[in-house]
Amino acid sequence: MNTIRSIAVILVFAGLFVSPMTGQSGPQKLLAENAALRYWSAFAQMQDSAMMSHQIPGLDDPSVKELFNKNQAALNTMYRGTLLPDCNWGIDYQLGTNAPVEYVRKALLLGNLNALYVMYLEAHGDTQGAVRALVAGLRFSHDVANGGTLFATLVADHLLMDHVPLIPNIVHAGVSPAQRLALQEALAQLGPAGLDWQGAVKRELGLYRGTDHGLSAQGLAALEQITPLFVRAMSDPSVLPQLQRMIANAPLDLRNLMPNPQRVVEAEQSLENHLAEARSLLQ
Amino acid sequence: MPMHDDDDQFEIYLRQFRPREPEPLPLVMRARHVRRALALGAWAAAIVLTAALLATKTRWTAGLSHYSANTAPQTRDFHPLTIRAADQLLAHAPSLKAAMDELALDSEQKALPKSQSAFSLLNKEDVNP
Repeated sequence: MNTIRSIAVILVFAGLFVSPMTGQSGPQKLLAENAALRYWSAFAQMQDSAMMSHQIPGLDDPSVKELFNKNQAALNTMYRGTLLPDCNWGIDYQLGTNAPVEYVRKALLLGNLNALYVMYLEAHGDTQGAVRALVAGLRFSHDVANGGTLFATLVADHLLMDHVPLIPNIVHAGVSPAQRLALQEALAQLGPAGLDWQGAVKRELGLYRGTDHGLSAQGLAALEQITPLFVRAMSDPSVLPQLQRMIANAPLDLRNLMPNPQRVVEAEQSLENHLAEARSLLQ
Repeated sequence: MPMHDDDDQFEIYLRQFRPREPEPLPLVMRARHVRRALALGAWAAAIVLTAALLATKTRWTAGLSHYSANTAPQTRDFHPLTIRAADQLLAHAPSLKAAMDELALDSEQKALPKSQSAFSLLNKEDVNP
């Protein structure tokens, strides 16, 4: 009996000591592979991001070079994050519209800084660096929309539209086969539409059902009819006039909340067109 | 008998005995000392703390005035972005681009000139071949 007890104690202690050394598993592993956490680290490393929203004299100005130098660590951390397979921002939808999404603002700043950095590298003949920053920027922009509402998707769209048009410049300046392939793969990973617009619309309109919006019964009833049509408009813009009529006839409380579907569809189509152009150029 | 005399004398001697008032137990004495030491320590700590607070307040006030002098535009209230705030921004901005600009500016200094921001530079740059 004592022997069995001793063996059990030894096994328990061995388990305690060995398990942390055998590598991460389960939820810990998932956390370690969550790109969003790396991106948050990058946001924390950002310096002088105020410069992004005020005077920048030009790409050759020493202050711009200093801005890139100061943010090199942040950009590198972001690049490492883009190599991870998953990105979950962990939005607390239980808080309804009070859920914090500050990461969207930070991502906009970091993404814009990266697009500027791609231009800077390309202008200074560092094609390899420009391709690397561009590939990472495309992935990062795409990740910004993950699991978020329509607003996060529109910010991701804005960032992609900052990065995708830079591809022709770099390609025409001359890229190696490996660099071309890297760009092709980066675009392929985005998918045909670039972003999950339908999912974003569903999450956005789903929030309007919450009590914190205080929609009237008529507003809620109208929302039930509008939601499927809005989602459909993301893949079939021909339903847009019908959708707009429904929104125009909806109760005022719902109308005040509803995003303009025309704008959203236009943003989606513009991104899709730019992606198609860039893909054909890289063929 | 001499023995009796001795007994009497011894008895007289014993009668002279008067018990002395006992001294406090060592434990009680230690407790009293500890209480006294604690009281002294508390007073000393209070004095040191007051002095430190006065010194810190002076330095802090000086630091704040320095901060506000140099970063006046950043002293406005900053509210982390929520889904509600983002939706309102989207609903009231004249365009999506305006909403993005507003979002970026909101965390920074609105007071600063925006004649040529990084965003405007990105827009101006001829990225097409």
